[in-house]
Order: sequence, then structure tokens, then C-alpha cells
Amino acid sequence: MKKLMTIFMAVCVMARVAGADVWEDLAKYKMAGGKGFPPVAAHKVIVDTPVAEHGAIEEKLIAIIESKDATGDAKIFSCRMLQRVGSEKCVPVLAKLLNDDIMSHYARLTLERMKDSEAAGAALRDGLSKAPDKLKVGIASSLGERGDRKAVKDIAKLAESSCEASAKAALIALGKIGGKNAKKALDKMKVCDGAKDARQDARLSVAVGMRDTKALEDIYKNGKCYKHRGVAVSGLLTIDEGKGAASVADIIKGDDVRLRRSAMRFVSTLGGEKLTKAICGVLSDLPAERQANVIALLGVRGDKSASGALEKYLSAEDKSVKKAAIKTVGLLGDAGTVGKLLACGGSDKEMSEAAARSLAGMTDPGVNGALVKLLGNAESKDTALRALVARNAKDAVPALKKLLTETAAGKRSPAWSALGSLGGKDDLDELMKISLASRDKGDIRAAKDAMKNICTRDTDKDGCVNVVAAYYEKADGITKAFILDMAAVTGSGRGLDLARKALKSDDKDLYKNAVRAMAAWSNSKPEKDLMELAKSSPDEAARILALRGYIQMISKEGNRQKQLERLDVAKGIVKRVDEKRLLISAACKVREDSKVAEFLVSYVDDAEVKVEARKALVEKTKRFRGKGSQALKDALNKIVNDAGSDKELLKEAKEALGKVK
Amino acid sequence: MNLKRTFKRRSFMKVAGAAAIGLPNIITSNALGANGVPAASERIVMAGLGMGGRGADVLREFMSQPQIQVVAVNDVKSAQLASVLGKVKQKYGENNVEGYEDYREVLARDDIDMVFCAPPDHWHAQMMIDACKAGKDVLCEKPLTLTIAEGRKIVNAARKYGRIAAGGSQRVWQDYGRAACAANSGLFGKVLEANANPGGPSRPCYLPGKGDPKKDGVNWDLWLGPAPWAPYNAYRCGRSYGLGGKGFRTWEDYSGGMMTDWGGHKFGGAMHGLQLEHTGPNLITPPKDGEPLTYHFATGQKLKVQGGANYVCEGGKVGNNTLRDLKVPAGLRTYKDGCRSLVQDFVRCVETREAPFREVEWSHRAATICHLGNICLKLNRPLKWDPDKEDFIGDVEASRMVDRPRRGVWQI
Repeated sequence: MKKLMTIFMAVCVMARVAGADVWEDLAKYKMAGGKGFPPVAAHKVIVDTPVAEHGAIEEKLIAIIESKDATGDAKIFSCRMLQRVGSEKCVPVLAKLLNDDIMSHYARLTLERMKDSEAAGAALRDGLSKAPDKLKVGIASSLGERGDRKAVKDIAKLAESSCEASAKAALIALGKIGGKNAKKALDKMKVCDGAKDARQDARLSVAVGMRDTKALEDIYKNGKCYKHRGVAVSGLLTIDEGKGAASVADIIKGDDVRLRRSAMRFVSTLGGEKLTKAICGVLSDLPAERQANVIALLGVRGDKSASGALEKYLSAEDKSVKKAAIKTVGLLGDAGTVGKLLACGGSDKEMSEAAARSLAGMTDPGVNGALVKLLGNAESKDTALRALVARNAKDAVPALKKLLTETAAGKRSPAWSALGSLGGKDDLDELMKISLASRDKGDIRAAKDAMKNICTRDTDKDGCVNVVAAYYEKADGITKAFILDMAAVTGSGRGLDLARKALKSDDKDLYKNAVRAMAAWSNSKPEKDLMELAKSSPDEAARILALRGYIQMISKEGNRQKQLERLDVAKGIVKRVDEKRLLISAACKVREDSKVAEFLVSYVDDAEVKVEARKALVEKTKRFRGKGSQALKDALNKIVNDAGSDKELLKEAKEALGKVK
Repeated sequence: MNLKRTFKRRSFMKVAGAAAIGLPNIITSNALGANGVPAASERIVMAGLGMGGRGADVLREFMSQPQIQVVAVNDVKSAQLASVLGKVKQKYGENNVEGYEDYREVLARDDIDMVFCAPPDHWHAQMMIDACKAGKDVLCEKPLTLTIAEGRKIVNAARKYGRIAAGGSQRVWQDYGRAACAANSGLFGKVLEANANPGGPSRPCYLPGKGDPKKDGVNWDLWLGPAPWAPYNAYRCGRSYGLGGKGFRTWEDYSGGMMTDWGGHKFGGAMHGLQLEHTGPNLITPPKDGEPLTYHFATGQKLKVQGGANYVCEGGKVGNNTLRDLKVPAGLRTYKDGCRSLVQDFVRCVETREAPFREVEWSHRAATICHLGNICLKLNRPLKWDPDKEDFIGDVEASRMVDRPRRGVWQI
């Protein structure tokens, strides 16, 4: 229906444009119930007309505004359109509207925005002198927006109005216009009490515009209001940074909390190197808490010239100051500061973590190289490694491999960990060789974790498995198990072939390792193998392992129907209580609430798992869609009847029952 | 406008009296720092301005911050004001919170450090700038502005008065942050394009006058504020979401439509991931020949108004689910350490004076993208834009749309 209406409306509009006179219709237009056909049609004409031909449209709009017969709504719409297409031609027509209660604002839409038109300015000035008082404020504001200095005298009169809001608006206009005359007028005028703040604001704007440092300094030093003193300082910072910077430094040392809050904000937003230097200069005079705060702000400020001055705070005794310095030096520093950041971490865990975080965020392209160079430093090596990982510094991988070979086996797990995060498929072969040469159990474990991590991340899963599979035939049992583990992580088809081959082995340990790997497979590829093993493996432990693996695989992949089928298959062979629990848990993960609810019914009376089954059934039924079976209703009624003192279960079961009915 | 009518002197004096002695009317144990709540001297005293639906929601999050004490709320719709006032009083006590119809009375209070604004869009610039002038830090709901020029004025006011000022949109990080992290992780090469589609623009309002604002409990003149005068109609000022004609977001005098409302989120997110929050495009091209509305940046990157929140990188398309292991890449802005929401981030910055996540310059740039899109759609031609001067190049009609005159006393 909505579509039909839209098409109907569009056809009506098109008919208007093509046929009868759009402008005649517009002239008669009255706002009514949202059926804005004439304005919409007129707007379409404007959009479809090349800019060079907008003069003709302007004439039509002017004619409507001048017409005695045109409606007010049509005139308003025409004024709105003139904001877009109006030229000097429409100025005299709009000027006449400035005295009109409602139309004055609409006339300003165009006159204010015709920035380069002297005629528009003259019309507004004339309007300001003749318009009724209540319309003057809008006209004055338009003149202020245009920065019309010829209007200062009349706007200044308005600023002396007893109406606080009008006076404030006029003062804003004077502030925008600026210049000597505005300054004189502001100094001389008497404003109502409520507008005194606005006058001081205007004075400040004018002073900044005139680059009048003397006036600004005077307001900063002798002013009573913290807001104006703050504005004076921000003004000074923009026109005489040295003076502004000295003022900010004074304020930061001082006790005026509210003024200091403004100045602290200037630290992160205004000024240049002079302000940075001034702030660094007063840092040592500040109490620790403020010192830490200002150091952090210097980081936000981003002026690298502060970096050198802040390095001494890397060894500050106060922890908050030291942490702030670590963070800020990282933000401002370059490759040359890497060593200092690493050194300041030392043996303090909290500080070395802060240093690693800071190093991780550094943007200088030389930072990775600097970190690599300092990997040899035993005290800071772990911090450097953490930073390299956080920086995703793949260019550090060759250096990390070299570090592995140069470090004693028992001490290289941090390097393995870093390689696991940064290495790729192409590094696996070399890492495999290094790990095979190791005899240290901890080292081998770290190597395996690293290589698993690489296999998990790399998108070429088969490629990764191919690299390690090359070592399979000649490997010992432990290594074979490890290769199968990696295959499980990747879920690769090539890896699955290896696992299947291992199942045929006479080596019982290898057989179990293959089953274990299949049970932990990252996808559902070994689904059939696992079911077969669960049903008919000669080894009981392998049967249990395979069944668990199968159950955990149920919701891993495949559509919901496939997952439901797996549930049914598993249900046929689960016997042990822990397996039933696993199956119920797996059923909950299948996002087919209605069918899973029906599936769970059969466990509601199973004494071994009825508590879990009943909770799961209620949970699934709460999201039930469609009609439930009688068995499901009976099961839910039973849960309600048996709930006893379990009020929560009772409430939820009743809710679930409501869904089924 | 008759100011005396809108100013409630009596309530103002009541509050001013309380402020003068510097303590809430009733000193609770919380006020003295019990129950893990900071002592009154360490709290941030705040007010909520324009507290309709969304405003009340966000205000609730502010109220859950231990260091926040809400002492005033404002709305020009009496039912909304009563509703939010009741909720705030529940938290802080009957006598510790005041309701105001006119936000200027709230800003006149010297005891308030910070305000949160969530009125309709045409009020955002006015309230934010007035808040800065009154020495208050200010967070404003998105979209930051109704016009491009308003945004620059807000930024300038925040700088001049040394205020923490920020725009809303929790979604920039919470919804699109993962995609931005993935795109900037370095794993997919250079970020070439962003896709985001917020929805359509607002349109002129042709609704006739209908109903009585007084009966509906609306101060209509104050609701209109800087917008052109128009007869009252509940559908002009309604809160109904979308462009269906029953809420203010439909009408261009009060809002930029979905383009600005969702644009605050989606374009904000896109610009964040492109790391172009600090600038703007240099060309905007309207939809043509199957290509969507597109923003072209000096870096060669593009923002296309289509599809979901994702990025096209040298190594392929990257979205929210591309990386499981979320790491924030160096140089990509995020909330401050330990902050889990936009509100927490803002409150932290009010305390430390750091730049909040949605710092006002960046919010202004995101809002500008929205407005540029609306102007381009309206003019239906390619527009050259100078992101430094913030004006169109060689297109007078477009330049006139950078700002709009404001009604009567509502000047910024």
C-alpha cells in the first residue's frame, strides 16, 4: 500500500512539472496535512534546472513574494528557495520583509548568507534601523555573522537593551564584527546586569581580533571571573604565545582550581613549542599528582620537543609520575628513546608492563629495529619481546630465530612465544628443526605452543601441515603426536590423512594420540572416523575419547538439520552419565530450539541426568516456535509438578508451558 | 520572545541559594564519602539538558558512575521533564535535584561542572556553546550539529574556554571498533575504502498547525529555539524515530535525518577506521551510474555510502568479524585505559583534561561528512570541498548551505 502511495505521489508530482504551471500552484499553496505537492514540484524544477538558468527561477520566486494574492506559506517556501538561487536581484524584495514578524527571519536566510553582496549588507543595516525592536536582534545577528563593521553603532544601541537575551545576542554580534569601533562601543556602553558577562566575552573576542595583548593581559591579571581570565589566556596563546605560555605555567602552579582546569585543557589543545617549554619548565614545581596529570597531557599535546625534558621522570620515585612519563615518552619519542623506556621497566613488573605498552604504541618506523638491537640485554629482553609482539613486528622474526639459536634451551620460552605470535608458515620448517634438536622438555613444550599458534593463525592450513608432515615418517612417537596435534589445530585434510594412517599403526600410543587428535579436531572432517571409533574401537579408552570428540563436534559445523542428525546418532550410543551430560550440553548449543526441546524430552525421566535435562528443556522451550508435541507438554507438566520448592524452575517451566500451548 | 515567561526566577533563586552555601540540601552518608562513593568535594556535579528518551537513557549511565552527582535536569516538554526528574530524584534524593524548563537557568548555576545535552539536533550547537561559555564541560548526543559552520563554532568555543567537549555515539567504538582494528592491523595492507550507509536525509516540513502546545505540555517557542518559526504540530517535535513524518528527525529545520543521525555512528566509525577523523574529503560525488554517494579524500581513500560497516583494504574486505583476537593497533584511538564506554571515557577526561574519544573536533568532522552528503544529494552534482577552510570551492549555492541564520535571540 505504501509503495502504491509513493508511486501515486511521484506521478502527481511529475504531472505537475510537465503540465500546469508549477509556480501558479506554488503561489496558492497552503501547508496542509503533509501533502506538499506544489513545493515538491517546485523543488524538482530547481534541481533539474542548470545553475546558469537559475535566474529565471529567481524571478518566479520574487514574483510570488511580491504578489498580493500569494499565500504566506508560498512566500516562506519562496524565501527558502532564494537562499539557494537568489542573487542581488532579490535583495530589495527581501529587504521589505525584514519588518514582518514572521517573514523577517525568512528574508535573513538569504541576506545573511549572501556574504559577498554589499547590497545585502546595506539592506540588513537599513532593516536594523527601521525594524520593530523585537526583530532587530535577528537582523543584528545576521550583520554580526557577516562581520559588517558599518553596523556597529546600531548594534551597540541594541546591546544596551533592557532585554537581557536581546542584549546578549547583540553583544555576540559585536564580538564577531570586532575592530576599533566595536571596542570603543563596548567600553562605553552600559549594559544590563545579566549581559555583563556577555560584554566581557565580546571584549575578549574583539581584543583577540585586534591582537591587543595589553587588553588580554589586563583581563587575565585583573579580571575577577575565572572564565574570562581563561579566555584571555587562550587569546594570548593564539596571538603572543610567549606571554600566553607564561600565564598557563603560572595557572598550573597556582591554586585556582577552576582556572587550572581550563589551562590544563589548553595544554592539550593550544599553542606551540613555547607553551611546551613553559609547561616542562614548571613540572618540577608541581605536587606529584598534578605532575603526573600534566605529563599525561603533554602526551596528548603531541609536541615531540617535550620528550627530552620528560626523560628524567622515567626514573621518578612516585609511581604515578613514572607511569605517566613512560606513557608520554612513548607517545612523543622515537627509536632513540627505546633504550630508555626498556631500561626504566627494570625488574618492576608493573613498570615493565607499562613500558611494553608504551613501546607498543610508538609510531616511529625505526622502533622495531631498535627493539631488536636491544634483545641481547637480559634485563629488558622480555619487555622488548612483549613490545615486538604487541607491535605485530613481523620484520623482527629473523632476529627472533637467531635469538633462539643463541639462547640456552631452558631460557628461550619468551622467544618461542614471540615467534608463535609473529611467525608464519615460511618459518615453520626452521622452527621445527630447532625444536627437534632440543632435549629440554619445557623448551619443547614452548616450541609446540609456538608452532600451534602459527598454524592457528596462518590461513594456509594445508601448507602449514605439509611443512611439519615432512618430518612425520622419521619422527619419534612424541614428535608424531605433536604433528597430529598441529594437524588437529589446523583441521587440514592432509593432517587428517596422517591421523588415519596413525590409526592403522601397531603402536598403541600413536593410535591413542591419533584418536585424541581427531577428538580435538577443529572442524567436523573426522566425523565419520570418530563415530566408527566410538562404536567399534577395540580400545575402551579410545571409544570414550572418540564419542566425546563426536559429541563436541555436533554444533561445530553444518546446518541445523545436520546438527540434529548428529544428536540422534550420538544418542544411539551414549551410555555413561558424563556422556549423557555432554550430549545435553551439546544439544543446548544447537540453534533449533523447537526440535532440540523435543529431543530433550527423552531425558526428562532419566534419573542420572534429569536435573540437567529438565533445565535445558525449559530453557529451550522458552524460545519455542510452533506447536509442541503431546510428549513435550507432558514433560513440561511433569517439571511443573515436580518443581517443588524450586520457585525459579517452576516459574520458568510455567512460562515454557505457555509457549507450547 | 518574552524571557520572563520562560525563566522561572523562583526556582532559580531556590537553587542559587543552595549553591551559595555549597552543599546539597540534605547531607547523606554518600555525600561524606561512604559506601565507596567519592566525597562530595571529589565528585563531578552535572546536569542533563534536553532529557527526552535517549537523553534519559544516557543520563542513567552517567548516574551509575560513582563520581557523578546529577543535580539538575531540563526539558521543554513537561511530561518528559517530570519523568526524568523522578528517576534522578530516586537516585539522589527528593531535595537534591531540580527540574528546569529553560536550560539557561541550569547553566547559570555555579555549582555545576559538566552538562550532558540530548535535545533535538537544532539545539545542539546553542547548548554546547552556551555550556562552554558558562564554564561547563559538555558531552552532546550525536549528531553534533545541524549545519557545518555550527561545528567549527563549537570547536572554537571549546578551545577558547578550555572545556572538555565531545560528541556522542557509543557505536563508533563499540559497534565498528573491531572492523577499524582489523583494517588497521597491518595484516591486510593499506586501508583503501570504507563503506557505510546511514540512511536518507530529512525533508522540508509542510505540516500545518494543529493542536495546542500548552495542552500538550510543550513550551513551543523554546522548543523551536533557533529554528525558523512554525506553527505547533505534535509531529514536528515528536520523538518517533526514522523519517516517517511523526518525529523531528524527518524535518530539515530540526535535523539532517537518518543521514546525520546514523551518520554520527556510521560515518564516525568509517572515518575512525580510515584514520581521517581530523579532516574531510576534497570531493563529494552524488549517486550516478550505479556508483553510490562517495567522498573522495586527498589521501586517495574513499568513503562510499553503501553496505555495512566494513573497509576495503589492499588485502580484501575487512569487517567486524575478520579478526578474532582484537588488538588495538598503534595510532588508532580508543577509549582511555580501563574505560568501557563513551560515558566513562568522557568522565575520565573531565577529571584529567585529556582528549575524550569523541573529542569535539573529530565529532564535528564526522557530522560534516553527514551534512556534505545531504548537500550533495540536494544539489545532485559533484562538489569540491576545502577541508581546511571548510567551504565549498566554486559553488555559491553549496556555500550558502554551510550555515543557516538563527532565529531571534538564539545566537552563537
